[in-house]
Parts: sequence; C-alpha cells; structure tokens
Amino acid sequence: MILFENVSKTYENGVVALHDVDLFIDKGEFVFLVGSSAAGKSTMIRLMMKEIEPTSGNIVINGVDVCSLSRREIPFFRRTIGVVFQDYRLLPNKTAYDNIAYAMEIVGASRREIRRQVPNVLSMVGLTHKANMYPNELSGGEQQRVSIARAIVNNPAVLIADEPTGNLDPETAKGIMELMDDINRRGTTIIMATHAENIVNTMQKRVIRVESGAISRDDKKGGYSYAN
Amino acid sequence: MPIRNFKRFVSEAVSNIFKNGLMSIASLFITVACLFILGVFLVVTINLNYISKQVADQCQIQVYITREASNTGQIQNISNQIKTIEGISDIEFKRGEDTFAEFKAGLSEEERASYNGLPDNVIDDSFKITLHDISEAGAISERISTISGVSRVENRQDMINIVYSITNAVRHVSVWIILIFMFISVFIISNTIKLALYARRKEINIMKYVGATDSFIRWPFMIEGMLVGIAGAIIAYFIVQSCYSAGVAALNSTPTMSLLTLRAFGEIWHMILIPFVLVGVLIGAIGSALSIRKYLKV
Ligand SMILES: Nc1ncnc2c1ncn2[C@@H]1O[C@H](COP(=O)(O)OP(=O)(O)OP(=O)(O)O)[C@@H](O)[C@H]1O
Ligand SMILES: [Mg+2]
Repeated sequence: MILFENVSKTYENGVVALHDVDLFIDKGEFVFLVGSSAAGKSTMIRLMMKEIEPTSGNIVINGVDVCSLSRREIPFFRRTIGVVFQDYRLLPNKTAYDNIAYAMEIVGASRREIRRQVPNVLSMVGLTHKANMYPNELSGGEQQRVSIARAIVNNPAVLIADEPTGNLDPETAKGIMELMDDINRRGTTIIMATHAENIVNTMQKRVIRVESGAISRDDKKGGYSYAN
Repeated sequence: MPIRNFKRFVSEAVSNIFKNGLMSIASLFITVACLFILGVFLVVTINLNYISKQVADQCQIQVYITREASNTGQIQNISNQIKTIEGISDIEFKRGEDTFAEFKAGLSEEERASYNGLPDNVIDDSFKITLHDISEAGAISERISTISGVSRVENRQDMINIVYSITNAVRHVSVWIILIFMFISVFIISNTIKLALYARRKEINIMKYVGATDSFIRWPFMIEGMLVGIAGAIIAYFIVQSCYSAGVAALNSTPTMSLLTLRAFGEIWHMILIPFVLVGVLIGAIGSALSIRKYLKV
C-alpha cells in the first residue's frame, strides 16, 4: 500500500520536481509510471525509498509514515521494499549468488535459510547455472535478473523499479516483464517507471502519467499514449 | 554483534583486502612508514633514558684533600662539612694509597713498570661524592672547594654537560618531529582510506539501498583497516629490528660509545612491538570509521 498526500519536492537548486501529488496504490497492484524525461518519475521513486525527503506532504508505505522515520530506522524500512534500478547496482566483488545472499545476511538470516532461499530465487529468475559468476561476467539482462532476485529474496510487500528494462533489448526486456508479472501474481505490489511504450501497451496494467511534476492521467487498464 | 556476523565480517574484510589489492598495499605502506617513524622515536627515547641513567650513575665528584689536613686528622671534620651541603646522596673516603693501587691494577704489565719507582702515597686522600642531581655538580663543586683542607675538586662536568645538552636537545626535537609526523601520517592514512572508500562508495550506496545498517557496513571496513594495521605493525617491527641491530653494531664500534652502552634489542622488543600493534590497529580502525562516515549518509 502506497499513499502520497499533497507531496511536493523542490530540489536544493530550486528545481520543482513534484508539485502537490496525490496518489494511492493498493496492495497487490501493478502500476506503471510513465511520462517524458524530467517529468518527476525518478523523484517519486526516490521519495518512496526515502533516498530523499519531500519538501512538503505525507508519504505512507505499508502503513509506515516514511517522513517520520529516523535515520536508524531507515535500513529496517528499506528491507520491506525491494528496489531495482536501470543500472542493476550489483556489488562488483560478489558473485550472483553472494549478491543475493547479502540481502539476506543483512536481515540476519541464518546460513540454512540462505542456502535454501537463494537457489529458489535464482531458479525463479532462470540463472541457476550462472550462480557463481561475477556481475562483469554477466550480460545486462542477466545482471538485471540478479538484481530482481536480490530485490525479492526477502519477500518484500512492494517492489519498486526505475526503468528496469532501460538498458535492455526488447526481447530481453520482455523476459524481465514476464518475471515481474510473475512476482506480482504472487502478491507483491509493483511500481515501475518506464519509457518502454510497447511494454506498457501489452501489459494492460494501471498507468499513471506524470507531467511536469504532477499526475496528468491515471488509467486502470491503460496504454502508454493518449490515443489508447 | 552476533558470532555469525563476526565471522561474516572477518571473511568479508579478508576478501576485500585482496580484491582491493592496490589500495591495501598503499595503506599498508603508509602504516609501515608511520610506524617506522614511531619506532625511531621509541628507540631513541628508550636509549636516551638509558644513557642519562648511566650518566647519572657516573655522576660523582672527586674531592682531594691536602696532605696537611690528612696528617692533622681533619678528615672527619671535612666529611661533616661536606655532608651539610644539600644534594649529596653519598660520600665515601678513599685513602691515596688505595686509589693508586686501584689505578695501577687497571694498567698492563709494562705500563705498570713505569710507575714502580713512585712512593705509595703519591696520590692524595680523597672523598668520592655521589650527587642526587647531576646538573648541580658545578655549584656543589664550587662550594666544596671553599672548605679549608680541600686541595682540589674534580668533576666530569664537561662530559656531563655535553651528554645532557644532547639528550635534552634530541628529546625536545624528537617530540616535535614525532608530533608533526604523526599529524602528517594520520592525514595521509585517512586520505588513503577515503580514496579507497571513494572507489567503493557505489558499493556502500548499494548496501544502503538494500537496507544494511551502518554498523553492518562499517564493521568489515573497520576489520579490514585493523588487519592492515596489524600487518603494517609486524612489517615495521622487523624493519626496526634489523635497522636497530645494524645501528647498534655500528655505534658500538666507535670510540665515543666506549663509556656508554645502548640497550640490546632483545631487552626492548616488547616496548616496540606492543605500541606498534596498538597504534596500527587504532589507526586502521579509527581511520576507517572516520573516513566511512561521509559515505554512510545516504
Ligand atoms: N538531485 C537532484 N538535484 C536537483 N535537481 C534534480 C535532482 N534530481 C532530479 N532533478 C530534477 O528534477 C526533475 C525531475 O527529475 P526526475 O529524475 O524525477 O525525472 P524523470 O521523470 O525520472 O526523468 P527520466 O525519464 O529522464 O528519468 C528534473 O528537472 C531534474 O533535473
Ligand atoms: Mg528517471
């Protein structure tokens, strides 16, 4: 469950990235954030994971008032949401397996739990045979699968993705979207910012269009463009 | 910190040391250099203290009395007068014959032959006086020389003065050199670590995004720093040891050192190794903790 109430964000340099945004996303939804470059999509996502603070307004995620979290509580809050980035952000010194295991280690999972769960998600993203490879030995699509596996390994209620297919060819992107759909069907709420028109059009999910820092359209089963 | 995490942190730290080999070597090198300077300081201080103690032990005044005074039984009287002077810890009477015999005993057979014609009482009776504080030797000598019956006062003030001024000068200078050097070293080390961390800030960032707590991120870095510190301490220790042994051997062969001795490394090794390990671990841990702070604020 994600709630934005009158959220505004003005960056230190004076750029108004979001202006008075209201938004409600229910548990289990799959939502696309679309809109032209500099519209404010990434800003919304960075607000959700408390990478930045809103200038005004309220943000509630899974019942947690994000704005009132103290510095010490942030790590524990972040463990309840999975995050996927355009540039994968894997730890370069760790294998695919260890990257995923790291996310479990920080939450204090036991060796046994890790040995059971990591192969599970690896097989879910179809990378069992590449478990012991380092990120620089994997293709972009494979790295993104590892990063998705890492994001979901602790069963977060919400998965946030900022242009997860941005660096991938259409065929690979399609595979990633099937994976996301799969994850969504298991009950995880998904918010995904994207420019990929055909992905949005084929998936037929809720589409929120952001324009100049405000929500201009919100379609229950939408397509990318106005024509749809 | 749970045991499970501790094991994780240590293995993480060890693998990071090797994966960031160049930076580890740079940190190691600087730690060794810093500790080496500290070692020079320690060795110099330890030996200066040792030398000044030796000088203090040799801090004696020889007071000769006139033959007339000896013959008229004034020895006790003179001794009493000397004892009233402050700063004297011990006074010992020595007959001239004994002094002469001792002197001759220290000579070789041939040298001794040339003294054979002399009478036994060629040297005057004397007092050997030990002082509390060597720096008062001059003043006390002067006062004693005014006592009637005293013919001459001999002290080794010249030698004492030289050793003392050198000791003091070196002590003052070395404190400053060390302070300045420590400052520079800490600066360089924390910057090296910062540089190392700058390359790894992305890594730290990712850890934060995944929800790692600050301490979970910090520990491996700190252990890494401590391990490099310990390694640096051990390397620096062996360098100091070999330099010291070579230096002592070279110094002991010079004539000036015939009067004084330096400490053997076997006697002082722990005074080097323990501070090295402590300082190495501290520099590594504090350096890492301070440098990482900036990158944890995400
Ligand atoms: N850290 C920042 N400091 C200052 N201004 C920023 C910062 N990040 C983003 N902005 C500005 O905020 C506005 C919204 O940026 P944002 O990244 O949210 O856009 P976006 O919708 O994600 O764009 P894109 O589709 O290109 O990723 C832009 O004008 C951008 O220049
Ligand atoms: Mg963006």
